[in-house]
Parts: sequence; C-alpha cells; structure tokens
Amino acid sequence: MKSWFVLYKTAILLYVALCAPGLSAQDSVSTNESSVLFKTRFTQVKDDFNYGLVFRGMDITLGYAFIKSSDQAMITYQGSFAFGKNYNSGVGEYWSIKPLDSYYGYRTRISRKKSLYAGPFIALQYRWHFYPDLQSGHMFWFTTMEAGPRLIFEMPCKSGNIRITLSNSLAGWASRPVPMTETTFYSLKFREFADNGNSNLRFGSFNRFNHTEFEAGLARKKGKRSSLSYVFEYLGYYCEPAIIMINHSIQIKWIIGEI
Amino acid sequence: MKSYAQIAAACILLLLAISYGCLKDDPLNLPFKSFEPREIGDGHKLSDPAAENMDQDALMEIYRDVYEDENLWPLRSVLVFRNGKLVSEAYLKDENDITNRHLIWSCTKQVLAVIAGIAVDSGVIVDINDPISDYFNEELAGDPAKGFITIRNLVTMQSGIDYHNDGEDGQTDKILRQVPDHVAEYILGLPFNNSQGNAWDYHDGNPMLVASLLQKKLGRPLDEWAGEVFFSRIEMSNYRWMRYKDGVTLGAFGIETTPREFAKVALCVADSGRWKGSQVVSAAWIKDMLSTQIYTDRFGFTFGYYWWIDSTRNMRFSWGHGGQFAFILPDKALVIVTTSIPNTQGEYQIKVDEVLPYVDRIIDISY
Repeated sequence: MKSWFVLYKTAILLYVALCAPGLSAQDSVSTNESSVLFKTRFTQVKDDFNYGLVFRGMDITLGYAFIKSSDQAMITYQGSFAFGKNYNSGVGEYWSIKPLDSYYGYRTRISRKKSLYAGPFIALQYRWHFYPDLQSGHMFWFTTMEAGPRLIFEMPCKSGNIRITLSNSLAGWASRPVPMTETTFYSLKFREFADNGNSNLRFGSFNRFNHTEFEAGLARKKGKRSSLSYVFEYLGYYCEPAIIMINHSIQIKWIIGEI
Repeated sequence: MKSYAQIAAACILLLLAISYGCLKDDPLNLPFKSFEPREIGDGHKLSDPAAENMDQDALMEIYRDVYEDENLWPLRSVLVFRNGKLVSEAYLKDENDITNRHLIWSCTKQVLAVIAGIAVDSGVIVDINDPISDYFNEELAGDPAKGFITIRNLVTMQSGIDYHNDGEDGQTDKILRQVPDHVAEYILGLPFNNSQGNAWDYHDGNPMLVASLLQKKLGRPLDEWAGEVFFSRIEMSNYRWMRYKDGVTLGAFGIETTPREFAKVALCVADSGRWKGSQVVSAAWIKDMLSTQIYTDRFGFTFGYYWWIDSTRNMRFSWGHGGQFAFILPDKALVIVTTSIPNTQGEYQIKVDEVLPYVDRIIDISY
C-alpha cells in the first residue's frame, strides 16, 4: 500500500484517539449545523521556483462545513475546493482540494455567555500551481497534512454570535516538488495530480513549515441562515524550494437543512 | 455595533496593507560584480578581454547594460569566447549556474546536426540523400509514401510533414505530455502538408525522426553513442540527454547542460569540427552544415543543417526556446553564449532580436 496512505491513516487514527474521551462522553444537549461555504480570497504566493516573483490574485472556494456543538465540546468538519488565478510576469493558475479539516474543541465557559473551545485540529490540503507563461505546462504543488491546536472564542451580540478562531500547525507532513526539477515531461492526467501531490512527503514542525489561520466573524443569529467572516491565512514552507502564501478572505456560510 | 464593524474593517485593511508589503518581488538579477572567468577544471582555456584584443571597459559596460535591460530579465548567463578562450562569464540569477544544468531546448537540434555529421563520417548514415525507408520499416506501415523523405529533407526542415510545435493541439505538446506510445510512428503517421524538399517548415518532428533512425541503425540509445563519439571528445561531461518513454533519445529538445558545456559544442563547430587540435567531426560536414541550404521566414535568416545563418553578420547560431543561444562569428573569432529561464512562453521569452544589439556591440569592441 502506498506509504502516503499509511501516513494519513495513522495520523487520523491518532487524532481520533486524542478526541475519543470527548467523543464518547454523553452530551446533555447538542446542536448540529450543516452549511455550504463560499469564500473569495486575495492571494499572494512567493514560490522559489518563480525567481523571487510574487504572484497576486483572487480565488474562489466552495465547500461544506459541519458543526456539532454541545455544553462539553464542539466538533467540526470542513471540506472544500478552490480555484483561481494570479498574476505577475504572466498568469498563474491555482487549484486546491481540502478533503479534511476536522477539529475537536473542549468547551470552557469564561462567563455565562462567553465560551472558549480549545483542542486539536487535523487538516489535509492539496494545492497545485501552474504558471503557463513562466513555466510552460510544469506543475508545482504544495501538500500539507498537519495537526495543531485551535482556539475558538464565542460570545453573543445583538446580530448573532461573534466567533474568533485561531489555529496554528504544530507538526505534520508536507510535499513540494524536488528542487531543480526541469523535466520536459508533464501531464495533466488526474493520476499525476494525485501522485505528485503525495510524493516526497517530509515530516516536520516549525523548522519545515508553518500554517497560521485567523478567522473573525459574525456567526448566525438564531433563525437566520447566513454568517460572514474574515479569514487571514499565512502558510510558509522553509526548506528548498521554499514557498510563502499570505491570503485574505471573506467567507460566507449558508446553513442548509432545518434551522 | 457600528463602531465595532468600523474597527474590524480598519483592522482588516491594515492587515491587508501590511501583508501586501511583507511579500515583495526579489530583484530579478544578482548584482553585477565581475565577469572574470573562473577555473573549474572543465577544460576551457581562460583569458581576459585585453589579452584577446577586446576593449575591456566597453565589455564591462555591455554586461552592466544587459543586467539592467528589463527586456532581458529572463537571462541566466552571458559568456564570451574569443580565439577559443573564455574571456568573460556572468550568471545573472544564481552563481551556481556555472555548474547547474538547465534545458537548452531546441539548441539540441544543432547538437544533433553535429552528431549526424559524425554518423555520416563513420558510415552509420551512408548518405544524407538516403530515403528514410532505408532506416525505418514498420514505422512506415501506416504511410509508405513517407519513405521517400530523405535525411537531407529532415535536417533542412523540408520533410513536408504536418507537425506543429506550439499550442495545446500541437504535436510537441502531446509528446511532452507523453501521449503517443512511439515517437517515430506517431510523427510518421501525421499527414503531409507539403511535398518533401519543397518548403521550409521548422518543427520538432524532423529532428525527432533523425534521432529515431540513428538510434535504430545503431541498435543502442543515441545519447550513449553520442557520449562516446562526441561529448567525451570535447570534454563535455556535465549534461543529460533525455529519452522518451519508448527509449528513443529526444532529438529535438532533450539536452540539459551548463552554459560552459554547451559552449564547447559551439567552439568545436567554430573550429571546423576540431577540439584542441583533434578532428572530432569532419570539416566538410561542418562546412555543409553551416552553409545556406534553404531560406526561412524568420528575420531574413537562412538555414543549414539545423543551424541558423545570419548572412548580414556572417554569423551561425544555435537557437533554443526561451532565449538559449550560441552565436559563432568567425570574422571576429567570437563565440557568444547566452542561456535563459527555459520555460517562458510568448512575450516572456527572450527573442533573438533582443539579444542581437548586444552581440553587435561585442563585435564592435573586438579588434
């Protein structure tokens, strides 16, 4: 069986084990919420392969989010895909799939109305970049399978619930193309996307990569379906070939099903 | 609540402004410091401009202008040889490019032309007027008429095969994406768009067929044979010549090498096929290879056996995608090599007419 599959399976099992005490606890009251999300991002990418040039542009993310919250804890799942374009010397194209972003947060009541959730998250994201004007049809990728702490702070306000989220990777695996790769052979077959994205996985912590995400928004008012938030994301990979991504997003979630 | 929203908006704008400033483009080139050649034990003879009767200060100014020319930002290296000696070298992106390999793309065709000459010299190719049916059998099953194409047609880009380099529908794109199973059969299965020997049509299909038939005749990979009969004899070792998935050496664009190694090919050609006094490929072949065989539709250049000819400068040159060049100016005993970021497309490539003004300036300061 492919080694990357074994790695991911091991990481997920460890994560589930970490969350098991909470998962198995009996909750008095819990609410479930499914929503679709739409995010528009201003992106900045500085990839070593691009000779020091920063490509800036926009992308769109579509996804699904699930939240189960109770007096004791919050469990979330999110999956999404994104596509977009950026520019510098020529155009760049960006594709991303995030099949897994899961979080388990233990709840602490700060006051009668304010809550803090703290716990681990685990996330897997594939990112592919193309720069047809600068790099012909060559494919560049950046895959992360990461885990770390996430804090969510909630407090009610007139318009709904203010929710502030801060997460940071602690450790995980990352994959990047091998430096100085200038092969003449490149393919747009799906298998190549998958094989490349899962190749050359290296384990590391802050010495290898760091992913910080900050979200601040207005979660929905009772009886309403929509919520709005701002998301700041920093993603850096520090080994050769290095890449840094800084993104700003506006995200809208729309609850589906009963409210 | 309104003030909270205003504060939040202000914070977001501030964060946007800060992060925009955090990520900036790096300078496109390293600072220009020197063009003094370095001894790295690769067999090149080193000298300096003054010793070779060149205006050193003027050459320095040319290099400074090259570094500052925004049109030439994809350039990676500029090397000047006079009288067979390296008088100046500069690496604009990375000093390690002195030994780092990069693709030279279609300059591979000009290298292939030299190797074809060795093949003629050694009898692997009996006569370049041979039809390719003397070399291909099952490959011609789909269209026996292609058997009448000669090797001369192939090396002068006059095969008449309807092959296109560019665009997603082009055949080179298919080969780069490893779509066809066998390169020779794929190319020979294409229709004609002209009769052979009639019109010049530059494309990758012709040299791919030359490489294929050579490999078939040799019974071994062309790159291996070329290593023995050519590259080793010009002390060229830091290179890689890639093969297609069917095992055939890519004759149109598969060589990865360094600027100094690539320069050895040009120096050998400039010296009528000799390397340090030893005849590597016959002078007669070099003469034919560098003589006008046909006119092209590009900048008034003519074409020999894969080598480009600029009659106004009495110059022969090798030309690869993105801005890989080796210019041979026999009247001035000059060889000028430039390499560039290899994968640029369209307007981001360095064009030959953007480089030629600097070639002219180097000619003018060489006495």
